[in-house]
Amino acid sequence: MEKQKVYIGLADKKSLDIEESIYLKDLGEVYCSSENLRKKIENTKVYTGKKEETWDYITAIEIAETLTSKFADIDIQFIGGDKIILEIKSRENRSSLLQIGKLTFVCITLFFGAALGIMYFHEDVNMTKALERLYFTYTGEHKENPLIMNIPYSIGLGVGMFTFFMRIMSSSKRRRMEPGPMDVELYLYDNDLEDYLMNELLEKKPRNRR
Amino acid sequence: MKYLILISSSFGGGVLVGGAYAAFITLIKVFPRFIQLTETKGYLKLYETIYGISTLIFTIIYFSGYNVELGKGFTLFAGLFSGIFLGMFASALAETLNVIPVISKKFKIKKRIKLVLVAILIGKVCGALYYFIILGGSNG
Repeated sequence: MEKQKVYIGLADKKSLDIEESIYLKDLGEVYCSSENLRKKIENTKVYTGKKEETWDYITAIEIAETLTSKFADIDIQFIGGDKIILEIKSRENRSSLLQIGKLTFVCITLFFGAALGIMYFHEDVNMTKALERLYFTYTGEHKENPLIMNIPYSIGLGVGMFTFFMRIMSSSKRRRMEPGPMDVELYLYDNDLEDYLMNELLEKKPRNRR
Repeated sequence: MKYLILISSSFGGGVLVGGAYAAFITLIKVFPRFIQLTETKGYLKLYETIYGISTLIFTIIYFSGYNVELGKGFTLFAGLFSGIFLGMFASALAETLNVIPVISKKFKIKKRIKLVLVAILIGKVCGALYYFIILGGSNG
């Protein structure tokens, strides 16, 4: 009998609860011409849950090993990543009070921080003097704290910051869905973090097989 | 005509500075760090808005010389939070410039990098206290 071809597309990351086991269907897609076999493969347990919060990983080789020991006549093709990072965390409800506390803390820090930061910048570059100089350049008059320059400058500052942070204002829905630079930075940061953790895990808990 | 030039040049300057200020804070990854520490991933937009609004308010205050009387206790509060932010800001900046990784690699102290961080921390706090209390700030 000819071997059944099975295609498995794996994800890169999976978060799971404490003592939650993973079946192959949680990790990605399975394709195979026989629907019956596909169901069976999808419901194969590939990882047994851990008792505490931790990070772990699972490799495509391990999945292949589990599958071939269970199903004799299949030919597995992996598509996608070869390692999956597992984040094991308890999903108990964190108190919303703590959440609000954290939010307030970050908001207050950012508010006063931004205040200090912008004052610090303006003092450092002597913005009042610079605008007075510009006022003199354009009008030939000396004037202290020229409001006609200060007010547009302040509005411009707000406009500049918000256009930088906010998602693009556009009539097209696709354009509005594009992420802001901070979202991208956040995503990169998360990716770096996972890469680092994966590297640590590979060093600390190498799979000793055979 | 005169007014047009004045308004457009200062408005343009404002947009440039605002954009640069926002770009800088994005580049040094302070926000991702805050989000990672507090596990509040969905609130990035709120944080950005607060940051933008605060910058705008204090730019206006900077030029107008407006003041409120909230008492001396409030300065303690505001000072503490400004300090927390600036501490994160300075550390993030140093981290972006790869100061610590380079030093730890040169001196082969990768395993004890926490000690280096503690040393820097104590040094910064002592330096700030020395600057303000003994030297008397910039007036000393």
